[in-house]
Amino acid sequence: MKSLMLTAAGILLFSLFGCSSLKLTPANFSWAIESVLPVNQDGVVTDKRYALSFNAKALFFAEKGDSTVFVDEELHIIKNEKGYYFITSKSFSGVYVFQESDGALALTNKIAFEQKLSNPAFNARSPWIELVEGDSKYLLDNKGLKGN
Amino acid sequence: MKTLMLLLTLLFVSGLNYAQSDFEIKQNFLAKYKQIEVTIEYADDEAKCNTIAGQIEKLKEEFASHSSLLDNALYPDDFNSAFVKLIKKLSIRQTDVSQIGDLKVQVGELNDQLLKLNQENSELMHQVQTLRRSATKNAKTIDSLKYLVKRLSAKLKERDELVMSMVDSLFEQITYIPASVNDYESNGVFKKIASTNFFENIKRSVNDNMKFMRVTILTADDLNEIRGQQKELSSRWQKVGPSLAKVYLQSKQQATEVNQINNLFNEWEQAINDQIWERVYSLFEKKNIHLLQFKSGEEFTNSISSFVQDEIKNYGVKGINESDKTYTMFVDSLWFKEVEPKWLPYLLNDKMISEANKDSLDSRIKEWKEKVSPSQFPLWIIYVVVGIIMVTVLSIVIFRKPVKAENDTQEAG
Repeated sequence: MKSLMLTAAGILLFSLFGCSSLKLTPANFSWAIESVLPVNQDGVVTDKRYALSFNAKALFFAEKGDSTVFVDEELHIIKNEKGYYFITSKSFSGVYVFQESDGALALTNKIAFEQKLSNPAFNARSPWIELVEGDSKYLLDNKGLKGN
Repeated sequence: MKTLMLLLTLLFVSGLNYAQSDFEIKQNFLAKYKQIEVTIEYADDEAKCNTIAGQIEKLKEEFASHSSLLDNALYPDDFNSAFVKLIKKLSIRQTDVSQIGDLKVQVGELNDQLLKLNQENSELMHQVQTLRRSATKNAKTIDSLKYLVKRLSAKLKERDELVMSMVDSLFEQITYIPASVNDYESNGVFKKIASTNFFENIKRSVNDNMKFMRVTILTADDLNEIRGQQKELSSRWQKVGPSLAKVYLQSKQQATEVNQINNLFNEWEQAINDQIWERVYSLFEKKNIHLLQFKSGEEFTNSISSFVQDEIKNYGVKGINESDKTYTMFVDSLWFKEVEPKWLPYLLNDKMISEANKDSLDSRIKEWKEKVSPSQFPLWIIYVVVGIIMVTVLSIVIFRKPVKAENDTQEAG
């Protein structure tokens, strides 16, 4: 019985080790510079350099309550070293943080600001993402503003 | 160019006020980089190239502090490779500019020679026209005219050669343009060369040659020589003209200029043909032989045939002497003395008449000859007949002598 239990425990331990995912670390997914991308007539945003594209209609709906107001808009997008996407635009109320997920970008956080952003821009300031808004600068990560 | 510079400056200035994000730093850099690229494209002398080299250095210094950002931002290039590309582009342009400089000097010199020749030719042409119109056509005037025509012909040839040298030298330069220089660049670069008006010079050359034919009276040999010139110039134009137009002219002008010059060469060819027919026609007119006008091989054949046919049909109607006189004038003085030896070979060679046309004319002339002087018995028959007569006469003479001798002998006995 004891040997049986030991065998079972050994098998369980072995399985646990076997099932744990292989991680390559450290890895840096950051973009050196933001991409400023137009939204096309279908609501799709495409970045040729990073071979990234996604439909942004839902984002505009979330921000403005209207999924059709994306015409002639531009999105500012940057990725931090952990692989999170930071997305914002002129007149947005904050910065949206996304993660890649099964053929989609899934929202993980929204970093809200009191005033609507008039002319936002991202800089890569590893390990942070710097948001420049006029004379103000903010350091962000996927959890929110630095210091918060 | 000015609008482009203004736009780029505005872009730069607007960038200055908001040069806070890394993205904007990249955009500013790219704008200034592009500005220098455009300036390189329009550089057309050594001094401008040197200025651009200074601008490149300045740009590098200005953005040196952002080199690590730009190393990532300019992917697949980086900060240094972007400048390597720019310097290489400038270097290629410097080579082109140097070649263009040489070409400009060469074309300039050719152009000066051309202007001088054009002036001389105009003066000569004017003198020829004046002399031809002159009421006093004495031997001295005629000699002066001949001399002038000869001189003008030589000068026109010299000018044509010069124009074609310019064409050839400009065409050679096209083959020196490196593969990296696109049509846009080459159009901008060669604007100054196009201003030497060499397309206009080609047109003038052709027009002057046509004018020369109008003001002079040319022999078959002269016209044949001119035809050779026309063919050679036309052939050289066809080889290089359209390519030159593509490089040196704006796209709208290209088709127009090429078509105009092609049409002029065709007109020249037609003018030579017309001159030949006029000269041949005038040969007959001068001898009071009135033929139907002709402007082609078929018309020429029909005109001659029709005249000969009428003469055959009406032989003797105006009197045998008159008909014979016409025959002699036409066939002996004109056809066999002038037309056949001097003009027909060129007409055949230049395919202005066909062999069939010539054969038809020959048979007509033969027919006429038959009418005027029908063919006699072959000589050998005459000789035979004469021979027979002589033998007969001799025989009779020989026969007679012995009979007389017998009678004399009998009488003596």
